[in-house]
Amino acid sequence: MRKGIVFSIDAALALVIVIMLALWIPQQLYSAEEHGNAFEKLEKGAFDRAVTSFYGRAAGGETIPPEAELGSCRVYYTIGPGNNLGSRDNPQKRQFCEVLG
Amino acid sequence: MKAIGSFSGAIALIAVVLVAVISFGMVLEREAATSSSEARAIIEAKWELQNAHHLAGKSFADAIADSVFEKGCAFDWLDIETKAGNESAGYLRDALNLSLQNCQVANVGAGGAGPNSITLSFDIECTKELGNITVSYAKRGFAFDKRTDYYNDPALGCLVDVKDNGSLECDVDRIDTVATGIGCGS
Repeated sequence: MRKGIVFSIDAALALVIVIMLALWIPQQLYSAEEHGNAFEKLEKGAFDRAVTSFYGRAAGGETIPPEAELGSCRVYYTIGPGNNLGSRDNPQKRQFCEVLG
Repeated sequence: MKAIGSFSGAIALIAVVLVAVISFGMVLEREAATSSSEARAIIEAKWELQNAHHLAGKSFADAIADSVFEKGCAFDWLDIETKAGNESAGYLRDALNLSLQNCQVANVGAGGAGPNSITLSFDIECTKELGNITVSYAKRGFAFDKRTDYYNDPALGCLVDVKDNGSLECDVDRIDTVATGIGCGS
């Protein structure tokens, strides 16, 4: 009977540990994932804007402000239409950014 | 004793199930992330190829405009052909070296009938690396058809416009079209 109580307390402790782990592990996973997801979202947003701006021939020229928590930029390249006649024109970078914070 | 054994066994079983569920979730998540980054690499390679194609058209137009300007505001087919067939490839390679370095151009060929139709054909291949994935995307037989207008302005000298006959976009816009009635721009 005494042994039984000892085993039961062990089992109860194990159950508590299992429950705590079950709560803690997913929380750790999700918090790391959440940060990664936020950046991935910004990357996708910046890419989408660069693509749509490319077809709309938007001017771009955006940057990530220093106070931003996270940011991602994408570019497209073009030449002209105000070309320098008589010399090769370098591609111009048109940049589009998505920021958080 | 038998009851106590069952209780411990149940706890062990819960632990095993819990570990299995978490592990399975992680495996699924990793698989989803892998297939998502593969799709992204393909989309990005195709997008860069689009941008390289756009740059090709613009640098070809730049080569035509430079030729007309250098020839004293005149259309010289031999010079255009040389620039388009040889130098234009240099124009595009230079442009890609300064922008989309993972894209290559090959088999550049020029042709045409005069200032109203100057054609250029070429192949482009872009390679994109994203994580452990490398995607190579190629398109053969791209073609452009351009026209050029030029005007010797008494004050400003030789001015040139180049327009894409396919998209009707004004690639080079240096002539005041409203004032002169020549060219493709504003």
